[in-house]
Formats: sequence, C-alpha cells, structure tokens
Amino acid sequence: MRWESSERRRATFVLAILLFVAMGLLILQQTPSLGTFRTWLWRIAEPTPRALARLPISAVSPNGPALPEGLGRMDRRLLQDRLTAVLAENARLRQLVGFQTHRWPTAQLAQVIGRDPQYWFRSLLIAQGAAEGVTTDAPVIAVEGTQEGLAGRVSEVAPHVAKVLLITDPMSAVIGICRRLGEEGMVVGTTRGELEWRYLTPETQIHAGDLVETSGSSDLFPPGIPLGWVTDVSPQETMAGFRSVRLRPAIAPAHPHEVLVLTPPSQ
Amino acid sequence: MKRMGFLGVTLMAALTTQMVVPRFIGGWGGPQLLLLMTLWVGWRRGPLTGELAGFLGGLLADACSLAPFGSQTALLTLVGYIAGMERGRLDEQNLIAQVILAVIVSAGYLVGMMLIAQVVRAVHPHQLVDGIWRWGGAAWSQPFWDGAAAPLVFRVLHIWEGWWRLSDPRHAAGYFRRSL
Repeated sequence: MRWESSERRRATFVLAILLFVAMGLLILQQTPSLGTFRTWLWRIAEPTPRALARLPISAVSPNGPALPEGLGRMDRRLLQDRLTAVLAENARLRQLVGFQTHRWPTAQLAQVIGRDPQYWFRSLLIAQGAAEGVTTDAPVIAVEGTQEGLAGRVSEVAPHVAKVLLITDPMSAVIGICRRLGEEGMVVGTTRGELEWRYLTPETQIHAGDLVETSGSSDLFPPGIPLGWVTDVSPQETMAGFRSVRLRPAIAPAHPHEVLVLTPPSQ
Repeated sequence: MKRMGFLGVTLMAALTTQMVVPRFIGGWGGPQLLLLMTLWVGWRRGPLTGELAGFLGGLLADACSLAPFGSQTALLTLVGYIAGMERGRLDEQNLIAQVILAVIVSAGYLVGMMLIAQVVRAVHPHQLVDGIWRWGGAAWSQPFWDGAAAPLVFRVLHIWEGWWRLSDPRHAAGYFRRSL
C-alpha cells in the first residue's frame, strides 16, 4: 500500500536523524553544555517522584487514636495497616534523628524517593539536592535499628534531587580497613550486588565476621563507618599476588527509606 | 494536541512508576515499563510515533539514570521504530504475539545496552560476557519480566487510551478502507 510505504520511508529517515542525535549525546556526554541539558531534563522528570514522596502523613502517638465507631471491616483493616506503617516510620525517624544528633550533627536527613529506572545500576534517588546544600561526592549513611553503615556517595546533584551511587554497584570503590588486623584494601561492588575486599596481602589472617570500615585514607569518606563483615575466607582469585574476600554489607542498600547525607571531610 | 498530551502523560507515568514502585516492592528486577510503553505505541500508532515516543522517553530515562547518557535514547528509539514496522504484520490483540515480541525486543535491548557499555566505558570483553550471566539476576531476567508483564501492560494502556477517547489509529491511517 502506497501510504504505508511512504510512511515507512519517512519513519526511516526520521530514525536516522534521531539515532544521529542519540550517538552525539553518547559521544559528548562529558561536556558541560550537555550536563546543563541533562539537568534541565531532570527538572522535568523529578517533580512527580518527589511529590509522591511528600504525601502528607499525620503524626500519630504511640497509643494511636481510637478508631471511629461504625466503620466497616475493610475500613478498619485499612486504617490499621496505615497506622502500623506510620508507627514504623516514626520509629525509623527517631533512630535516624538520634544518630544524626549524637554521631553526625552536620548531616542532613533525606528521604529515598526512588531508584534508578534502569534496574541494572544500583543507585537511589533522594529528595535533597543542591538547594538544600547537598554536594557531589557527599557520603551517604543508612541506619537499620542500631546499626549504621555506608550506603554510598552522591554521584549527581540536581536542584532538589540527588542520585546516590550505592557501594554495591560495580562502579563503586571505597578504601576499607579492618582495625583488628590493621589491613587496608579496596572494597568494591560486584555484579551480584555483594562487596569484595581486594588487594589484601596473602598472609593476612582474616576471619569470618571481621568488621571492615572506612579507613579515612581518602578525602571522601570519614573514618570508622562500617562497610561490611567478612563472610567467605576461602581462597579467592588473586590479582597480581593480592588476595580478595567477600563481605556482607553492613546495611542492605536496597532497603533504606531515609538516609543521612554527610558533608565531605574535604569541605 | 490530544495525542501529544496522551503521549506525554503516559510517558511520565511509566517513568515515575519504574522509579518509585521498586522502592516499595524491593529487589532489583521488574518489567521495563518505558520499553513496553514504547513497544505498544509503535505497534499501535506506527513507526514514526513509536520512534518519537521512544526518543523522548529515552531522554528522560537517561536524565534520571546512571546509564551512559544517550544509551536508552538510542535503544528506545529503535524499539519504537521496530514495533511500528510490525504494525499490520502481527496481530496486536494476540497474547502470544505480545509476549514473544516483548521478549525478543527486551533481549535485543539487553544486548544493545551491553554493547554500548563496552564501547562507551571500554569494558573488557570478558567482563561483558561475564556480566550477561552474573549481573545480579536483574539483567538476564529482564526479557522474562517484560514478556510476562506485556499482556497486562498493553491491556492497561488500551483502556487508558480509551479514556482519552482517541480514535482507533487503524481508521485514521486508512487501514481498514485500503486493506479491503
């Protein structure tokens, strides 16, 4: 059919143009002007997840309000579920505020509003950005119960949203130290979402359960933030004579609802 | 104008859902709603609309993602074009056709991302192959997620299109009249 073949020819021509533009974006992605363009695109995409994250939730006392009389069974069930979620959020926030006050007084509390839309990259989106004082490379800490751990670092910042690269992403690398041994190495993410502690001397007497934390050798991360525990001490592949072991992350990076964003030590 | 509004709202809804929902359900896998939406638009509206929807969706996804900027733009544009070229050849109401097309396109998307990652980030070839099989389950499982979700997502989009009272694109393109 003629109309169809002319539409297909037109579509093929437009495809060539669009692919040329996309290839141009790939080649020029490190240039400053493209960074500005990307920030403007982010301004279009960010408001909806940020708005969803700020849905009002009223504070509820631990005892909870009395449920009104005359509610149907389904309504009571929904209210009860909502009450449970609010109480859990209150408890998390109290713990975070406690950590913030005593351990990291200059830290900012940030809500996690989403994840990378490309599921293969381990990153989070938080509802704090440049306008709130968040800077690139700022360390990000998560808290679960009484346990804190390094979640990652800020990789990109927009006016009101920031991206956090998690330590379990293969692109992440942090210098970690085991205080018991005095051994330093590089903690990197793996393709399986685990951690690997690399460049250890073969004679190191590592035990399962040893804690690895940030060493403070780099300008990015303060010392003493837990990274993970050694899980597997069986001989791993060695690289150039060095040894590596697997770690269990101190905090499951996939789970935090809120995080603490620190000011980088160099600032 | 109505069609542009429909595309814009649907695109934003797909992107937002893909970013926000995993926060609640956990894990690192799930259907790629943007890809399925682009597939549906191309299949339903033709290659031109499909590739434009893919281009715009890819731009927004790249802005929100750590993927190389331009990678999802290029791939989703191709997805929309390929789906549009299949319009009239495959029955869009057939569930099996929906699943098979989604699986094939998703697998091609996966391979495309790996190739772009190698070219742009100069990933060593053996890491590329290793990554396909060991990338935390999120990569190799993607075609299955997309294939499983395709019939439901297409059905939802069909109903959503009906709410916007958009005419059947096959009538607008003269499909029925000229095919008789």
